[in-house]
Amino acid sequence: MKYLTFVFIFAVLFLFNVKAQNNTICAVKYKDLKSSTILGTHNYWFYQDKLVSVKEPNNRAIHMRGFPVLINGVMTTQTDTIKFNREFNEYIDDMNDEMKKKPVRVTMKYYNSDISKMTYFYDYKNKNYIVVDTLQNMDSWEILNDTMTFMGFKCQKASIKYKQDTYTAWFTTQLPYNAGPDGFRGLPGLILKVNNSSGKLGFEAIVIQTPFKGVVPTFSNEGEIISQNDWLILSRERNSKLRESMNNMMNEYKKDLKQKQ
Amino acid sequence: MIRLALLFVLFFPVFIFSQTDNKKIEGTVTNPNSEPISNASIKIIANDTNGIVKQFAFSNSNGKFSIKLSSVAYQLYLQISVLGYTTFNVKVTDSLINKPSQFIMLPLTKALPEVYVKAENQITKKGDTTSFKVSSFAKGNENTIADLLKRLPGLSIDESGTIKFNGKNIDAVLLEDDDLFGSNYGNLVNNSGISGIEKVEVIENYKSKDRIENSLTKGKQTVLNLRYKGAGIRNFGQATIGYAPYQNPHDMRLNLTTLSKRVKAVSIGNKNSTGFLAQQLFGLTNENDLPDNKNIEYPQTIELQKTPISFNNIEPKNINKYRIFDNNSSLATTNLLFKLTKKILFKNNYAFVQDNFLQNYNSSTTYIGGVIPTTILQESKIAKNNNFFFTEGETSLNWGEKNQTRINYFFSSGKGLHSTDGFFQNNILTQTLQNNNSQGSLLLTHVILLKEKSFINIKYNYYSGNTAADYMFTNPLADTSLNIKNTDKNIIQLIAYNQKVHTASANWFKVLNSFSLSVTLNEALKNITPTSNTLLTRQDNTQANFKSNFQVEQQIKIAETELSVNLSKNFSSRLQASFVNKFKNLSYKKDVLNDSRSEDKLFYLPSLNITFKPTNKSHLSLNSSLQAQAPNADQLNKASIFMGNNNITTGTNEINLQSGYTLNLFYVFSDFAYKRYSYYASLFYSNLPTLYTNNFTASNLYMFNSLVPFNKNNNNFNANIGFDKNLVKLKSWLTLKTNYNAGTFFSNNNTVLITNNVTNLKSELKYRTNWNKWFNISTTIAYTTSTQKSLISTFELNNFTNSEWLTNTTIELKLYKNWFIDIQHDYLVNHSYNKPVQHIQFLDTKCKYNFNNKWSGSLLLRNILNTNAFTTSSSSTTQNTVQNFTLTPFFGLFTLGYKF
Repeated sequence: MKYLTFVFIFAVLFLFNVKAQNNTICAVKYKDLKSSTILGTHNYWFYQDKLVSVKEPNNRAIHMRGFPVLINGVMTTQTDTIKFNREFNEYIDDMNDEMKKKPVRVTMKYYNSDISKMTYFYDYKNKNYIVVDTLQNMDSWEILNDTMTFMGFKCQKASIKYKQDTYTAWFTTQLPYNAGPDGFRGLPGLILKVNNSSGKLGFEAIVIQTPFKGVVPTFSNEGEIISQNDWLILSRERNSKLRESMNNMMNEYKKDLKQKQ
Repeated sequence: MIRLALLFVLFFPVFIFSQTDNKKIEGTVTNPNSEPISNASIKIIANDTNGIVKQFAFSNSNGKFSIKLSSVAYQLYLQISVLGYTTFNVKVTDSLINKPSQFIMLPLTKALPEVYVKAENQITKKGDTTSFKVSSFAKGNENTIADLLKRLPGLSIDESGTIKFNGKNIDAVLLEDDDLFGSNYGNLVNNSGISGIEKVEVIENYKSKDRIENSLTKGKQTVLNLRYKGAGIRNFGQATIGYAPYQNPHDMRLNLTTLSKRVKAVSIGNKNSTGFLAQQLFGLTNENDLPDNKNIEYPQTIELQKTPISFNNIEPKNINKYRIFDNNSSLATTNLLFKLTKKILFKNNYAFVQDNFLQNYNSSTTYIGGVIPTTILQESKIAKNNNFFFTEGETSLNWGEKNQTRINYFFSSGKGLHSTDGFFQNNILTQTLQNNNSQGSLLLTHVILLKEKSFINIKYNYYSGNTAADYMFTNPLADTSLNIKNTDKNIIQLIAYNQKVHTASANWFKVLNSFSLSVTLNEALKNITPTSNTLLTRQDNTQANFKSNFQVEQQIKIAETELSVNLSKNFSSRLQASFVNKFKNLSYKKDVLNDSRSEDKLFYLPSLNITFKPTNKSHLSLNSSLQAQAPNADQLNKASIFMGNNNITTGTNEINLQSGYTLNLFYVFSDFAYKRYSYYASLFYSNLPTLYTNNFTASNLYMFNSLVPFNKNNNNFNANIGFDKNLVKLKSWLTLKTNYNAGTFFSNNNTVLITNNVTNLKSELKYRTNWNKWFNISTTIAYTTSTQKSLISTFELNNFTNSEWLTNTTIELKLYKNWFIDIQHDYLVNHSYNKPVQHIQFLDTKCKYNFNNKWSGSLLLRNILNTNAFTTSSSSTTQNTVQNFTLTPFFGLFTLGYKF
């Protein structure tokens, strides 16, 4: 009987293993306040010690401004998503499928560091880079007494002077992450909303899921490490080469056309 | 001991103050195995201000932290949070100050509750679509879609269910992109509940995708689109049953909306004796109206036939109609849409409308058009029994991608039995009227898409209508010229007309780069047969015919040929203009009593439309057009007989064909998302020929005026301005609307020209809140004034002014849990012509309890401040009437409701 009791106690201890849930992830989608319509979201996954983020374009909103429809054998650009509902949905599905095939640009940052890492893909050379950027310090927050409930979370106000403007943030201690969108951090809870003095620059959470159940994009350490400035120089070079090759192609095409005429 | 306690209480804050002065808390955060935890969030929290953070720090990679405490006069707490661990809370005491401590965090042993929150904007605008999230505006006490729409900014709705968005009429209300109701959506919004509706979208520049020719044309309509929750097959609706114990009114309502990919249906049922006439619930403003779907494009506009004779209801302005009628009404409708295959679309609507109602009133009317003014006193009961059946349908067949055939039809059959009991010049008078009305139409449309962005549209329409009014009145006054004696029992007038119309059109449309060209040939043939018979019943029950002028059968033939060339150009994506050149030939032929007359006239009727969008949020449009004006069948029928008080003549019997013009300028700016306001201004001017509207309905023989052309055009100017401002972001709104109308119109009385100068002004200021679910208020103050001055040359015939102030306040309360109380108060100050100022107020209260998400019970107390009599006066060109009428008394209605 004693033996059975010990087995039972061990079984209970095994089942309810007293281990911290270090893998608990909070997923937040932020919208960018810069654009009046949600042309894309900034998707964040907050771990205990780090964050991973991906920018996700909203193809539906972007292509409402124009999408191709074949009418009487002529490819036209349409904006009427109600009349061409079927064509619009098919086109967006194709765009989304296409996007899934492409590698995702992932950013990663540890909370105890000011360094953010982002993978970039240099298609032209078929080579990956890890762009390392040092974020501006954010330890001069002024905690204010204002509170509000935002998306069901009790939030407190804080403000900071940043990039020659005053930014206001709303953070919640119910989600104890020293993090927020786009390098905003340094508060004792997750920043759900942040904006500048005019209210036109900033981010606002639109979806919160915790604990997150799903697949988080992985940050790959494979690639050449370069600084943000070097990457800018490199990407400018790449773009000018691409433009040049495009111009050459167009010129050749025009020459061919003239010869045929 | 007590003194010691008092001393402690007095100096307690000082102790706290002293405990935090120039001190710090430091320590190490670890797990139970003494392993350091980095990035722990350490906060000093105040207990006096709802637990807000005062100071904070993070643990470093060794788990260490340090926080300096500033001086405060309240109790502080230390809180340490780490993801996956139980939050550590402890009161800040001396034991923690300046003594490095180890804080051991205990791991969470159970899973965190799952949280999924999604934020959506209450109002979003994408392109031409403005979307309102219903859950942000609905309060839980809405009975109908109309109740919900009244809460949405920019939208307004009148009693018949006509919706406006920023001053523009809504052309259709779609259910998930499908149009089941056409322009007769009043039935849907007045009766259907909001169960299941997730979003309301307003789509401007909309065009129906069901019509293949629309792939080449521009969208012109403004529609409302209702989006429901879920996908696949869904059923939403609500049923209520109500009864008032003492007064015995009942109110039963049922509505069901079925949605699926291929089938959509809305069924509505209503049976009430609480003052809601079925015809008004069905969305019709006037008793003799029939639904007229303006979204179906006929080759020619069909004028649906109305009864030639009617007894007017007494419907004073600014008093809700449900306070006026003692009724028993029934309404049953079904609207169906089937998408049988991708190539076949079928729509059909059925409606049964029945109204039984009674009105008590007495009136005194002074007719001032004659040499000696005549006053007629009446003390009457009007009893009406109206029934009609209406069905309408559309079948659309797609023959491949380039051919489409559409069949539209409607049929209606209506009967009315009206009677009044009262007095006419001290004689007891009983009047009875029987109306019979049946009409039907079939429209065939075939569209062929051609190559190079063009199409041909061919239409044929057949319409047949028959209207008869049998009017009988008792105890006619003796009249030697008409051979009427004192002993005669009654006079019966039988007035009817039959109309058959064939119309056809062919339209060719082509897009040429930035131009589009449309050429339409239109032909209409109308054959109208009006008849009038009058019989006199003698004392011995024999019937005698009146004079021959009362036994008339006419033949009217009208031919209309129209050639229209429409040239549109897109100057840019923001500026478009269209110029229409229309040539119209009208040919009238009328045979009556051996008198044959005809009139033939060719009109050139150009029109210009310019639309300009300076920004994505604003829109400017200018429309101007020349229009032809000609009498319709009803007017021609009534012109065939003419009577003075003592003699009969055939009148001048002329057909008058004239043209006039209209000008319309409209500007709207709308930005609910950012600037949070909208405003619109509409200016309208018309200069149109005199209409043949004179229908003098005395309580005796019906007497009609003749068609007398004065070559005078009526002038009318209208300014309509609206402003909607969101005062506090999505919490409170201020709306200002003003409508000013001024005009001169001409009428005739016994071939004498009367000039009428008319002005009307209505201003309305409304404040409405969307604060929270607990308390909201909507209050409106409106001022209405109207003046009319009627002149024969310079002789003043009539000059009157009426004005009214109305305040309307609705308070919506949500009490503990699921209790709702709605209070509605109306206060009316009426200053009618020649009458002292009158005050009248109404108070209704509704208390509702939601047992759960589906079941609810309510008690409605209507007319708590019961004023069951009201006197008003109305005036027109040649008459002033003072009316005393009875309003419905107080009642309490218990209702049980179920929604799904």
